[in-house]
Amino acid sequence: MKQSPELAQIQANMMPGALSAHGFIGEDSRNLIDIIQSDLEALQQLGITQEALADKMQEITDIGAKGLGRPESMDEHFEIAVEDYKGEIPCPFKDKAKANKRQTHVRRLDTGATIRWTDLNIHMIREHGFFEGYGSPYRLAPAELVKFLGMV
Amino acid sequence: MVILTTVLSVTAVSVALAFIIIVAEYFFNNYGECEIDINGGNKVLKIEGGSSLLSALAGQKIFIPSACGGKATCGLCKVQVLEGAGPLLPTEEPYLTEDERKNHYRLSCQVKVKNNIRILVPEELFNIKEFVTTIESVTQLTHDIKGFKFKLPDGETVHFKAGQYMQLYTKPYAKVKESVYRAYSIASAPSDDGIVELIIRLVPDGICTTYAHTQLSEGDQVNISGPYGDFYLRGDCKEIVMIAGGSGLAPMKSIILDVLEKNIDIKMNFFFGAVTKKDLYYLDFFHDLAKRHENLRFIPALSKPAPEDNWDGEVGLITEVVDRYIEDCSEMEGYLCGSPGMINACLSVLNKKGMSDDRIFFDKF
Repeated sequence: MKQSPELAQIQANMMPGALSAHGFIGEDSRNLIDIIQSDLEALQQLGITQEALADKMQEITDIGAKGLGRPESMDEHFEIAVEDYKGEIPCPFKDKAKANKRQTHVRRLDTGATIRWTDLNIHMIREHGFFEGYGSPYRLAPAELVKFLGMV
Repeated sequence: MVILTTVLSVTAVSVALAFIIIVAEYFFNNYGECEIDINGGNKVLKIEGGSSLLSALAGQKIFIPSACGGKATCGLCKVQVLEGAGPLLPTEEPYLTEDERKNHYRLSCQVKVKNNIRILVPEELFNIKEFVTTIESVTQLTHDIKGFKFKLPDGETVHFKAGQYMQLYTKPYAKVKESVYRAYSIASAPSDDGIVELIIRLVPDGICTTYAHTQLSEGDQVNISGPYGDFYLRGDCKEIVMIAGGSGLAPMKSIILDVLEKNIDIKMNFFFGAVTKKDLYYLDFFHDLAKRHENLRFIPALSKPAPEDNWDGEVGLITEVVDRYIEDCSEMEGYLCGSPGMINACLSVLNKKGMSDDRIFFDKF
């Protein structure tokens, strides 16, 4: 799909070294608009909205954050450890939003599977439908994430 | 023949358009020489317009505090711009109070110098210097924290208040093409003015901390500037509470050493929190100091010690431990350094114990 100049500029802002060491695109050669569209279609097929997914992630992060780094349990389903770092990172979509440099590590107590996300991941999913490109260290594949969280 | 003519025509039009764009950029983005008048004519700088006020001043060796490298995320680089700043940008709004806006405060990283400009800058900022240092040692303190000692050039010294911070400048590395800088608290004592010790925790995917952890080793040359910041001991009391986590230990170490060296009559309660023992460091150093100095109480605490830690110290969230040790701190001062989550939690417990917000100090980066 043809990409607007604004999105092209945002995609340039997602390259390694602009806002983070590895950036947000990884090895993905697609345009930002195609990355977003493809992931939102995958999410739609599962019947989940990006807001509902972001709400669930935020709920988990909020519970984990109470432990100040110590793992916390949630509903006998998850063990959550939130690592908090000094500083903030601006959203690459240039929407004036900033996120704490916080990482949420989640472990499913039944399977032992793990996943992690940042506060910026939650914001970008909710506001921009962006799950990061293939090969990006913080990419979250929508179907895997939804399944992990038990939303389907 | 028709195809060739078409290709040549398109090429000619493209070249003409490119030329027009270049000429237009030259005229529209070339602001020429601009004057920055500082503090009512005390200093007048002549610079080429087009850059941010923050970087224009840094280019003239006037360093405005900034922890984020000019990305409008820390809000530290405020200066009063009396004339020539242009309208307030949306990126600045979250950081400026109503009073600050009335008094013409702006974020210097967001103000572009396009014409003559008049600013007010606190005189103490003229004392901030840039140093080309040599790394004397790198020490792995925990699995994700390193200590760096930067030796200043012979004959040069840095005069700082214990608790202040320096900015460390990176060089391009790996896929990072531009230099950035970030703020790190000084861990060494002010008396040790030929060396600056910084303690840096690796932030996953962080540009500057990744640089420090993966690129820097003994003997390397590194640019730092400072000192900056208003996190330092006020000492308007007989007893203080100090709470740190992770690399937040750095300014506490500097303050404690300074108080002990100067024989300042203040009792210090230093709480250092972590999850397991692998996150703690400098334990022997502080235990030894506390044994030798009655006015230092050192309380390390783990929130979830591992069985192999064989931990016989305090257990619990650092806020719970503070709650157990401190009865009433309404007459004390509080000094906090750590993650935003830890600071917020500590503010609550100190408030609960009677400490008012104006007696609690922490860096906002």
